[in-house]
Amino acid sequence: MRRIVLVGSGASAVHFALTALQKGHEVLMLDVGHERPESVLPGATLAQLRDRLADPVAYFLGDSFESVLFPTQGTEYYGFPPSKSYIFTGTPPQFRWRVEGFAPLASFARGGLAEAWTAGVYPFNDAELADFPFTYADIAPYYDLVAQRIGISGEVDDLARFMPVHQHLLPPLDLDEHSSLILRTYAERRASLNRRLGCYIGRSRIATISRDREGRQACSYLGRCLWGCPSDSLYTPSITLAECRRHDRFRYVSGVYVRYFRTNAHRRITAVVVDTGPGKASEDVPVDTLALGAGTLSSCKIFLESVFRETGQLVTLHGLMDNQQILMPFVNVRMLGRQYDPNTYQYHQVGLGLEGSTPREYVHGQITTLKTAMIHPIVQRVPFDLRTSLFLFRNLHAALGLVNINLHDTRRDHNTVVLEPASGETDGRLLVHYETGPAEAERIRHAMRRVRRVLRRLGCFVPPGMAHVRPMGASVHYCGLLPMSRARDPWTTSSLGQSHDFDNLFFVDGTTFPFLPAKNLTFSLMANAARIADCAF
Amino acid sequence: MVDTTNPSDVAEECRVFCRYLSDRPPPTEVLSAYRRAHQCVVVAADAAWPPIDAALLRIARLGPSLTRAADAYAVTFAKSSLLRRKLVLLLAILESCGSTIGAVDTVVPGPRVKWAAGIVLNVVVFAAALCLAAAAVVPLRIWYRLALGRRA
Repeated sequence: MRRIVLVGSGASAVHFALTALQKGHEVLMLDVGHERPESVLPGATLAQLRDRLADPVAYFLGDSFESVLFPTQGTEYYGFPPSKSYIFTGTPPQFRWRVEGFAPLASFARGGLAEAWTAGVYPFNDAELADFPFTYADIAPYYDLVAQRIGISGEVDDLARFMPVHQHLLPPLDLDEHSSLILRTYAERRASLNRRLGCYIGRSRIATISRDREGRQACSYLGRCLWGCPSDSLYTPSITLAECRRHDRFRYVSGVYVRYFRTNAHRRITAVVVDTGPGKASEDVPVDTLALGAGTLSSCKIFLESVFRETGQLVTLHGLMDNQQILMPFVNVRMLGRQYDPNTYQYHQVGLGLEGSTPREYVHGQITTLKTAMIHPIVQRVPFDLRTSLFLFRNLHAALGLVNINLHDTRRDHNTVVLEPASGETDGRLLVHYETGPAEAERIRHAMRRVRRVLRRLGCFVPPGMAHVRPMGASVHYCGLLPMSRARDPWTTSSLGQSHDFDNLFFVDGTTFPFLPAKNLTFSLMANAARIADCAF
Repeated sequence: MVDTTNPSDVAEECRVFCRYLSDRPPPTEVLSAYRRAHQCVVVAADAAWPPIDAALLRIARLGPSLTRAADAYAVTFAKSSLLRRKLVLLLAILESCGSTIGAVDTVVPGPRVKWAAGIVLNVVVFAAALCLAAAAVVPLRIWYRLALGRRA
């Protein structure tokens, strides 16, 4: 039996922990762990919330109106609702960064960044795993395992050519009218879309359950997805954390921030140094085996801070990756003048896959139809006075949708993180530097052109000037800084995430991914973490 | 300029803007939320806002029609002006309340032709409002610039 100290409680960490526990190991999870607030009126629909809450404005916009998106606040279409603010607030004072060309987010919430995910589940295929030191066959059993744990609904359809099919697929959720129309139109024009545009459309696979299972209630279409599912139908890592906590050999310690680790003369980690709160002295927690699952940037910060404190070396880690995302709003002409149904599933239900010149160049799009999202960020962008814009918008609402286009990323030397050391006991600051490749602008234009053509074939048009290229870092799919490698090079890891620099250190999050396909990586993070826990010990 | 510490000033402004956006007076919950928002810095009118913002706001507060004219000017030439922020704030409040969401986010009844005609009419009114506002605000803007230049 191993005694494992695990840092973080996000998607990777909880599946690593659960697998390790099921194999008989002991796990101590250290986490800052800001808690999700209790759901309000759990059985109420969104419309009922507006009517029944004593102060609906505070619920939807925040006590200080922090969720209102004002004209000066960039070009995003969604703001984070107050009910999810716990995910991005409360950064420990020792965690600091400086960024160049990158707009990262970090979470110190219980469950991590995936508490805010949109539940898209996209297994990597063999072509996308070509740079990994293992194949799809090696990770496939863990996709199955995680699918069973979290509950995934979907269908085996045209998108299966890009997404390997795993076991334990639940029936798909009910479609909203607009998504249903898109799929019907695709079915009518399928041959030409496939042949001429290399475009395939199907149901998104999503980690939201369509049947009651293991104490979780099937999606009841309350229309509250954006504000946090009140019935845990939409999977979040805190569900698996709760399962871990039922094990005797699991201990969860929240309210602690892991700053760095100490090593001995044999380059073995002996302890982690943690902060337990303001005004309190740091403490040492003894370590037998250390697993870092705090998320790529946080795990790398712990690693770099530790290396600097132990050796004085300022290591530059290369190869930071993130998906470039482009938001492309569209209007579906056949939905004009219809009233949207708010009591539907709110995130993307339809996915769009575009073949690339090679399988690694695949482009993925998530198609979200507009229902209960706040309308003021959209209406204010219409180039008329608000009264005219509202008149226009009211009949457009049900016809509006958004394609979130994802592009793949590769490890490139000039995308780096390095520690900027501080004096005394203060921790250093992480410098995150990202430069887009020379062909990036053309790659973006090309993808946008293709998606526009697909939308036109589907009977939709893209209003001019409304597409938005998100800043790098916005997709929050960070990975690639200490890649898995077949060679035992410094600043790399084995195929099981074991550090080539410190024997008893494992990276169980995205830090070790050597390639990032045009897909949300969360499902692969979970499967890979389960694989490491199963095979490494 | 609205005195953000004076509740009646803010309430009056809310009434005018609410009529402009939804054709009806604000219910109590909207009024109280709008007042509360003025305790936050995001819409507090103070010396930090350029004089042209104050001018736009003064025009807008005179009545819903003039709000439209000032808004038409703001969306074209001053997207992040104080007036625009206040209107967006009020829209966000209106869509958060059960009693008012219907006024800003339900389908306009009738055939599509009626809606299309409504759009044409609205765009024409927008253009007229923009011209009217520009005729009033552009000279003010020039005057402010000259005055600033003289002071410098």
